[in-house]
Amino acid sequence: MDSAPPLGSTVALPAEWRDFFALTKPRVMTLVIFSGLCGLLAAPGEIHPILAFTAILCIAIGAGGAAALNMWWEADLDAGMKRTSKRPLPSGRMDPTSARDFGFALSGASIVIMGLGVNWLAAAILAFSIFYYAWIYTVWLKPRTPQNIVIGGGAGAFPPLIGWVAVTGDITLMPVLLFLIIFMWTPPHFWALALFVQIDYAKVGIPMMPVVAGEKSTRRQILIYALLLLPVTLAPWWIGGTGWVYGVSALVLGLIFVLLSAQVGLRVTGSDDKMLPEKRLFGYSILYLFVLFGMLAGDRLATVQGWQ
Amino acid sequence: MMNDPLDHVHLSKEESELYRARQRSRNKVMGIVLGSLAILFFAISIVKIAAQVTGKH
Repeated sequence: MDSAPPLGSTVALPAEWRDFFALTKPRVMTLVIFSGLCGLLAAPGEIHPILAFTAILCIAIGAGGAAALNMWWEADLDAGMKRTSKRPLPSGRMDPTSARDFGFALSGASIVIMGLGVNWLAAAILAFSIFYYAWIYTVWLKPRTPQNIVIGGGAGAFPPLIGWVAVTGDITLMPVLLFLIIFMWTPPHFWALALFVQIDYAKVGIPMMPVVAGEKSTRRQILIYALLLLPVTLAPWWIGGTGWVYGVSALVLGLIFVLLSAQVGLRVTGSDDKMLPEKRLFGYSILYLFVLFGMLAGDRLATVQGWQ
Repeated sequence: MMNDPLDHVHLSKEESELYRARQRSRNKVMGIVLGSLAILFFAISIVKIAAQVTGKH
């Protein structure tokens, strides 16, 4: 593995703070912060704004710590893929030990601050989510099974659950449904990406679904998950946990998701296909989750204001 | 007292400046992070104490 570039003969140039920041996967963190914030805003009950800020900060720092540990573990794999070869570790701008220590420090700090500042149930779920991503997904599942994305999706599904529990202090059906929404959303989202970057994954031996089961099977599974996702997103409305603002939004957004997934799922491609429907589905899936969770928070606001 | 890694290494002026610039930049960011955390911990303490005084949890 490469280490930080040397100066002179025996001293390494210290990594820049920007490289440490890059280890936290800031773009992924945006979605983590947003879904965590929406879970927090949608939860019934009150939380002081400073404690709410602390909870979201801890979710973000915890996600950043888990991401740094992921990059530390996967540095060799990242070096072999065009999409990830410019990251701080594979490009040699940072030594692995710094990345590992940074990841553990962020993870530990986020759990302790969440526990002392907000509540220990939220801290325990945060700790489990970091362990889930950094070990169950990164170390255990990802290199072993093409179902890695399905089970690993659980790691990204924790933020709204943690945000909710930060307010209520307990777990009910609603935050579990929020968890399930992201859990069911992850496979079609990620497999759409895996379809148009499959050459990269195949090169480093990661058993992504398109590599192991083939394109046709992956496309069918994208459609199946999109169909399963629709009732899961409507469940909070059915059980009375949200009002029509969320319910109608989930229905419309979900139908578009199914439509775009059907375009991908029922398609047969040639060797030099531009994969436009796959790219469209991947892009829409990100927008979908932002709007869906935004509507969840908007629904709560509408209820509090007496508009529904 | 910690040793400076540059004490026992001969670097050119440019290399030494680059090394120091990186250190300064990291130290500034670390200072901002630690200062922000101190303010956050103070604010959390005030909120917790106020909640206990008013009987809220």
